[in-house]
Amino acid sequence: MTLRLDTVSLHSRERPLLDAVSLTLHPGEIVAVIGPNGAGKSTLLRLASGLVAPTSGTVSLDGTPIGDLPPERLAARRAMLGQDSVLRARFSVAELVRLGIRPPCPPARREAIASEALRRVGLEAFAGRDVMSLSGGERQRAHLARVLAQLAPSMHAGRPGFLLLDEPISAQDLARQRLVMDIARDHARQGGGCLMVLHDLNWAASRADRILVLNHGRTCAEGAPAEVLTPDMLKTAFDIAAPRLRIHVETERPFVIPHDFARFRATTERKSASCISP
Amino acid sequence: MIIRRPGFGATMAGLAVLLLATAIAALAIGATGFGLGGLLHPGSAGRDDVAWLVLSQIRAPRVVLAALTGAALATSGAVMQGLFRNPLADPGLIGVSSGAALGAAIVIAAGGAWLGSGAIGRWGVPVGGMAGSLASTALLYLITTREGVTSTNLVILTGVALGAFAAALTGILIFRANDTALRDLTFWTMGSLAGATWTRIGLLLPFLLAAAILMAGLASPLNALLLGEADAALMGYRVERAKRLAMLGVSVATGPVVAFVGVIGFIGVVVPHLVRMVTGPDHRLVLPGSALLGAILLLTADTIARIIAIPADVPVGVVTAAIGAPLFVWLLIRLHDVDVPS
Repeated sequence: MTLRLDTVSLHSRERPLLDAVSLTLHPGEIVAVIGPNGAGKSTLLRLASGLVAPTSGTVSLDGTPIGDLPPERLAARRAMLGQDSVLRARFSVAELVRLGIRPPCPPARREAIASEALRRVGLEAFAGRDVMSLSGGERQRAHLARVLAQLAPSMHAGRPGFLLLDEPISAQDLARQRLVMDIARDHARQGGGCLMVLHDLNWAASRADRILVLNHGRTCAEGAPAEVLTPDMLKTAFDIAAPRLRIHVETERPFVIPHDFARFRATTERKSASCISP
Repeated sequence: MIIRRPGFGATMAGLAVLLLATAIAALAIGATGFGLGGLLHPGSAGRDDVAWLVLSQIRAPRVVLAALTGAALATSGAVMQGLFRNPLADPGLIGVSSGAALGAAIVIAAGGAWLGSGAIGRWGVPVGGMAGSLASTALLYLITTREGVTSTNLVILTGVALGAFAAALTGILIFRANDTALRDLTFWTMGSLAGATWTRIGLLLPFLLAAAILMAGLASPLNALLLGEADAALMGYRVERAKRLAMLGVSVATGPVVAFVGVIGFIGVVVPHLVRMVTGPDHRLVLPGSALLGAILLLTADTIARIIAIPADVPVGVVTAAIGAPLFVWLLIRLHDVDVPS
């Protein structure tokens, strides 16, 4: 069970959006896609989902070209949380989540899948709420619940699929960022694969098995977080001057400090002339 | 804001009962003053045969045609609004109604010359209407589809243009028509159910049945489309096929109806909104709910049209617009928004 992108390119009229990018997503794995704005991260996810066909190269799921799969089968094997999921109707949160479960599905089972998905994203108390009345972060998690519900039937049948998440923590507070990252981790532990676009390098560093760095539509680096997150790469891809890197003593994973570390003090330390400016 | 919804069974049962009551009232009320009572107590008036004739051959087919027409237009409106995610969409907006009117007008204008009163004559008008609506839908589809993808925004804009063009051609036919044809043609521009006969209903039924079958499978895809085309596709729905089926279903439902009763506005736009206010946006309720409420409202409007200026028969399209428009504006002001914002 793999989701494979083989030297895929996508060209718009003016410019290449993605140029010969390859990536294989295995079961049980989280791959984070990072890169500056406009690097082609969302485009990569849209290609991986089969929503857009590449100009050249192939996207295949378990060896079958993704375009050859019937839409229903594809939907049972992969689900995607877009960046701009909009709902143009007054659905309740539970109704929105149930939309993700394709018929035929017995009503009681739909109900069970939906409430389980809502519990996972921490919205079980919001089931009856109007989706339009939610905050941005709540709405993003409601759509995440819909995406989880889409994969739930095949998950229960022992065929966990692929989660494609485009900036799933962009609207989340600190605690909910952790919640969403834990959901991705759980999904991978249960044998699914997760490909997620992240802007927070430290979440990528601490939770991803591999990181793919895109820049100008090309692969800039790919590998384990410690291999990829280097000062040189950060300078090249993000144009951050002199970022500092620390390594976690237990996990050996890198931690990026994009500021001048020497200018900060711990909150418990007393003020001293050396570390504050007036 | 917690959302509460009435159950599917309760909503449909309530609407069905209301439809039955409206139909009975419509049968009982009319210009001749024969009530249903005369039939229930035979021998009391001595005019039973006439009363029976009025009821069975004039009022009853008109009641059935009004209900079928209302159901067809309202359901088509609900499908269009869901498909285009546009609160103003109805078969009229994308030119399906104008195409149907043009097709039927061509048959009528040519009718004096070569159509008899036989099978060709009876089938000619609905088939003309159907051909007109299908032709305008096909043209619309061809213009707005590139590499298998139909642009819904383009459909609306092109539909408006095609509709205006078809209306202009119909106008030319009216301008050049002889007196007989002119009377028949004018009758569409305002819409009227006065021509209802059992034969016409028999001709209409196969089309409406076919449209109902086409639309029955659209509820789930239309629900998914409320999330946008990309998310609907990601959820495994065949978005382009749903668009084709929806456009085909709407033209099959609208074409023959327009051919028989003319262009009746407002039912297609207003009814789905009224239904959504109660049921919410789920098309599994909105579609059958619109069919029932459309039938109820057009039946009511037609009953008003029959009795408001006895012995004259006011065109029902005038009544639906005269009552529907202010009612709709009042509802919009009260609710301040609708459930399918663009």
